[in-house]
Amino acid sequence: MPGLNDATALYDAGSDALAHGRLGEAVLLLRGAARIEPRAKDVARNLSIAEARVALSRGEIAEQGKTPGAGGTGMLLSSGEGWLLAVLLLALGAAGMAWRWRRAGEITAHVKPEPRAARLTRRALDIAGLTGLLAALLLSGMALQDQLFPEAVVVDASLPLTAASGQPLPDAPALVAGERVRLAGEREGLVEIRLGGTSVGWGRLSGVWRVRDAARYTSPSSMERGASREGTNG
Amino acid sequence: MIGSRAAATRTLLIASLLSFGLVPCAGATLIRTVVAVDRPVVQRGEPVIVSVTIEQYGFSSATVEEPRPAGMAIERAGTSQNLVIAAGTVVRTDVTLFRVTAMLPGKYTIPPFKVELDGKRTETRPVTFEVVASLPPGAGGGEPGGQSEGEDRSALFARFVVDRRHVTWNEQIVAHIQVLSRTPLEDMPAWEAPEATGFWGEPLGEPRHDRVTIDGRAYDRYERIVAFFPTRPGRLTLGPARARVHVVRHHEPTFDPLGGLLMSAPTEVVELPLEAAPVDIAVDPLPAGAPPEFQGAVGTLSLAVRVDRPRVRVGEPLTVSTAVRGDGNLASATDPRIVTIPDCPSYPAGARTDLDRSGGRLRGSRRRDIAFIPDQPGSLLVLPIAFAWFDPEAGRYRVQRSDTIVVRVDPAKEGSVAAAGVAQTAVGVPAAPRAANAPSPRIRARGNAEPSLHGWPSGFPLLSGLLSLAGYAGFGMAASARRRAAKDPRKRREALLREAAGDLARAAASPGEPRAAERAEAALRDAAGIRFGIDPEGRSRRDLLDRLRAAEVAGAEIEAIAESLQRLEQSAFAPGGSGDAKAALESAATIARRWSDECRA
Repeated sequence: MPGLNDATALYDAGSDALAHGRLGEAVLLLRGAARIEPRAKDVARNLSIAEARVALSRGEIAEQGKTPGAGGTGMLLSSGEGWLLAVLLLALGAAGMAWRWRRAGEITAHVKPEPRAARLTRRALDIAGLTGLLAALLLSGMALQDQLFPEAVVVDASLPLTAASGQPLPDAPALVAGERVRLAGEREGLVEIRLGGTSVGWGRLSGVWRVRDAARYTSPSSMERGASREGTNG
Repeated sequence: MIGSRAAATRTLLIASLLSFGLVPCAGATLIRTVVAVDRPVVQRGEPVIVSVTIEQYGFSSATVEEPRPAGMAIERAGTSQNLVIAAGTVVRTDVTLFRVTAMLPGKYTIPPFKVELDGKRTETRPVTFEVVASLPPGAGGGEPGGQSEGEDRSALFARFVVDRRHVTWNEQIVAHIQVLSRTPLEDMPAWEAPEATGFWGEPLGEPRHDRVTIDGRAYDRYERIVAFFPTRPGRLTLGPARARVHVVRHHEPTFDPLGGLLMSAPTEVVELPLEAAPVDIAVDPLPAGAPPEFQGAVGTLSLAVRVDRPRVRVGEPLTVSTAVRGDGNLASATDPRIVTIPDCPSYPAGARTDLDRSGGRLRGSRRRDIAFIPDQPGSLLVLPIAFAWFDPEAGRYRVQRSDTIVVRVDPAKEGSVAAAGVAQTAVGVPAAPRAANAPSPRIRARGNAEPSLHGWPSGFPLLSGLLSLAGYAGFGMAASARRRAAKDPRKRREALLREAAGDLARAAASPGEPRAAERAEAALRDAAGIRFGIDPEGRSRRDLLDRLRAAEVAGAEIEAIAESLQRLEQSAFAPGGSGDAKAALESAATIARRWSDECRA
């Protein structure tokens, strides 16, 4: 399934997986599409349905759109849009700083009061710059979190959790296809699984797929599954 | 050495089980303690065997401390352990046997045994037994004991010993059918099934042979143990029990006139029938107030429930197993009912009854497997499974209920038969693919040739963002530096002098402007104030000059200032652009420029 390089391709592939009951693949691809187009209603609807079905398969009583976090990324803007907005605000803030710099150099015996419009404009530019800085920090934090603990989706039908040594954890329920987790360290074909900021065990690396690599997802039915997974997700 | 090796083996076994996660590593929990005597009535000098059974969840070893009552000798006769691991739980059973001997006839009560398990102490209940003074009357049957007149009738006899004579319906009675002989028999007795109308019997183990002392005499004891369960209330009779034994009979030497030439057999093996007297048993009916779940089980029982998996697909079997175990008539027990929500087809998947006949009582387990086939995804609830039984030891009914078990039911595999019925069990109808829709404008991540799924910017957003950030930070730092610089008095004075010199230079360059001389005078006064650190605001020329003198400004400088101010004052009334006015302005500008240069230097 190469070439999922835009939201439409991800959405179409995810919807096809959803129609065929491949919940893990559906959630993965639709999450990828939602990252690019967080306000797209069709993406949000199908993602909501997929996550509701995942909740049902977990044994939870779920309705469409009632699953926590279902139906999108929870953000109004994609990361690209967010970065563009942050850049714009930072540019405005830079202009305000330049103005401030220019005025800070003036030493005169004949001080003239600053016009109200100019004062308001300068304050607006300051606020824009601070907002842009905060937005950039927020986006950097989110990107860093996804770098350190990448969001992933369980793509295998069942992913039993084990200890770091590979020994099974009898009390830990297996994860089901479509469940969203975060990954941490990797070792010997296992990856540390985190839920809600807490490590819950280790699972097969081949059983999960990072959302940021959704565009390179290879269907299990594909002949090149093994090589592709090892090469892209591992 | 053997003990340490056994401990090491047990430690290794426990560690292995724990490492494989087969059992929970929780502390021991006492299930129950049971104390029992092997017979309620013994002859004088005959020991009674007391068994103390401790059941617990876990691996811990229990210690039993025997009491020291007066008039009885209690000695430890042996111990045994049994481990059962099933459904993730470990049940350990420790049995400790004590041999209790009372020499005088009478009724005896053995005080409670003290039990300690994982630091927790408990006690058993007291038990009683009776010692009778004499042997039973000749119990031989048929050919009176196989013994001739004059023979000691207590040298060979059979007897029927039961552990209790008053029981509840279906309560277990352990009967010992014994043949006691002062001399060893040629072989084990041939037992006949005892008459037990109204009982269901189950032999326990193989016939046994040991030696006992009764009333000061040593006997060979041949014993067969049978568990009986009364099937109806009332006064019932167990026995008589019959056995045939082979004994060696010694003959007196016959008269031999030939002085021993005729051989005669001094001994021969004869078969003798023996009969043990019957025992009356009082059987009480079950008391009223049975719970609705009660279906006739009597004994000391417990229920275990397990499912073979926590998650199942639609159309695949989920096996729910119930196991009833303990002491009692498990063969006649009825399996508990299993109800699921939602209701789904179920089929018997197996049933097995295991009876343990090796111990002193009939124990065992009864297991039944039911396979449920869920037909819709979601959750399958196995409702609490209840099992009720009558506990004759406690004299009351007991009910045990399992927890509700939640099993996740996943959708059937694609292409399976079960999938056909649930393929579109959707929570809503998905939106159609976009390829089938008319293209609609959408907000895209602009600036990227390929939208980024990771959170970092690239391309134009990255470059412009870095530039903006650099500009923001750079201008901010520069502005801060300039603000700090503006607060430096020396630099501030320099800047103000430069500004005043500039104003005077501009005035000198355009002397025709109205009020040029007046503005230049004010600028020169301000410059003098800045240069020499005095406040010229509102002061007259004389006052200003006095202040300059007080500030120890050089006299020539004061003279130059005074002259310049005077010329400016005079030129204020001269026509604009006249030579005097221009000279006055240039003079003032020269003074201010000199001050500015001095200050910069």
